[in-house]
Amino acid sequence: MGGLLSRVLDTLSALGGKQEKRILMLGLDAAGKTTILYRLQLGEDVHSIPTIGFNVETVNYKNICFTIWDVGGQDRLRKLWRHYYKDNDALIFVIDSADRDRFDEAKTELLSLLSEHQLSHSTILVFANKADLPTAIPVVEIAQLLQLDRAAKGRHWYIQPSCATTGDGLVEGLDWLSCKLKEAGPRPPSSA
Amino acid sequence: MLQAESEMEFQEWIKALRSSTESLLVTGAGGDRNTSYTSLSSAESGTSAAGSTTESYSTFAGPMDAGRAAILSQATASFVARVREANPVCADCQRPEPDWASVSFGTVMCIECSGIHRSLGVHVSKVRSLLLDAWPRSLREVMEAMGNLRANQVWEARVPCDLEKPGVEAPREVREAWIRDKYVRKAFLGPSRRTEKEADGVKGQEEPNAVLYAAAIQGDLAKMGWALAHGADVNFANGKERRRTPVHAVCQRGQSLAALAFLVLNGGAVDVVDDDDWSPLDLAMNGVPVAGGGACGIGGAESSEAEGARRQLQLQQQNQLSITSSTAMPLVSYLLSKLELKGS
Repeated sequence: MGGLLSRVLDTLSALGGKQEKRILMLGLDAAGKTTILYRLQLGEDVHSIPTIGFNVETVNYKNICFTIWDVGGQDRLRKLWRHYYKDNDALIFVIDSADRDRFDEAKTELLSLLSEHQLSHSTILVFANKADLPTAIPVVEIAQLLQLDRAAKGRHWYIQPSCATTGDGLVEGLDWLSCKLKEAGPRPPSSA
Repeated sequence: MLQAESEMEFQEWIKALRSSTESLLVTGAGGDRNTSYTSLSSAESGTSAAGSTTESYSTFAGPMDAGRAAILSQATASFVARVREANPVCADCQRPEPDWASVSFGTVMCIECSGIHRSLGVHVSKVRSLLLDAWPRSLREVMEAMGNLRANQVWEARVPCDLEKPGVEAPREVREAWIRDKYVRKAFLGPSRRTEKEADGVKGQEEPNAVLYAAAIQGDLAKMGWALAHGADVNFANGKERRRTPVHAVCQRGQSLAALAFLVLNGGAVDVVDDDDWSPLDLAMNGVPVAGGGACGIGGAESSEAEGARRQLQLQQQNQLSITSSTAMPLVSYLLSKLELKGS
């Protein structure tokens, strides 16, 4: 029943033309951003090297054309993130669930992004990546620690455990994102 | 607004943008060793008309990583220069001028090998960029105390003669196999008992846990690295020493921030107590010379209550005294930052 409904909705939106959505993907270095990007685009594990600068690819999913910007997360590259803030429909923030020592650093960066005016309309998807590793913080605990119900009050957010190397959880995340973005329609024109 | 008219044009634009960003970041940061940090700032402002070179790195500074504020410091710049000079080739594939590091092993490597290290997970290897990451004092000291030569004496102690170390041209699969063999399978380690020279004051052969404890007291990173590689438990409680851990041992001596950080990077816990309920922080602070106090007075026949009361008094005294000149201060502040992280 739900499947039929979504097919009908898909067909309707297809009649209206393909939607294009711009996604910004950020997170600390080695969280798995590039691996996620190419897993989504190519369906394989690309064996990435650290990103200096950015990668950008388009991913078609459920009649939405996602343009995903993946920007390097090394400490000093984070100062460049703000140049990518403008006109995004969603922010994907990637966390290495197994890196307990740097969880607070990741949280600080995420909270700082949530307070950015230019990202105030963005839907928030958090990938709790590397969830397959035995030392990973369970997603329930990550949710408690991030307190997004407070920090992302009034906007759509979702935390999805994932394993980028196998692809587990990625489609689920994109699925949630496409639903929310379809509901939202076109983003409001930017003021700048 | 600028708009690419076709897919091909779009790809051309992306390519041009990427290559110019990368070259600004990499050559700007790495081209000239002496001016690397100032050139990154100007490169950054070049990417945006609105970019401001005066924006301070201290905006990132928080209690969790005091080292970040000092990223532009002379100390960091000269550290990078020294580390690059001391480690002219990648620890794993021998590529010249490597710019990436594993702070878990204290090695320097090329970007391709760093990608493989990252894929192993932070429980095996924690990767940092020499040029694009902050280098707090603790990490700087680990890198300087270890380095490729010492680390490889452990990790490549016994390479089978029919196996050749990957070279500059080695494909990714070959490097990955080598790195996994080296650090995960630990296939190239030497004998698992360390034979001490008599000059070290330790006779005969010792097992890894004992070596780790002794090396922690000495602040000898090479020996600590050997012990950890050979399976020493980083949090082993030494029954002969009131169940103190190697972290306790470093703090009791109060000398080597490198040794302390190296243990913590390899899973050493800072929130542990010994048989007398002393934490590493207690020991580090007690090692600070104050009137009538000192590490020598610990333990013995005193009851634990009297001990606790005395310790309270000592800690109170210390809090009132200026102890900034002590060698243990870096350890104390490092421990406090780690404990604060755990408590938050």
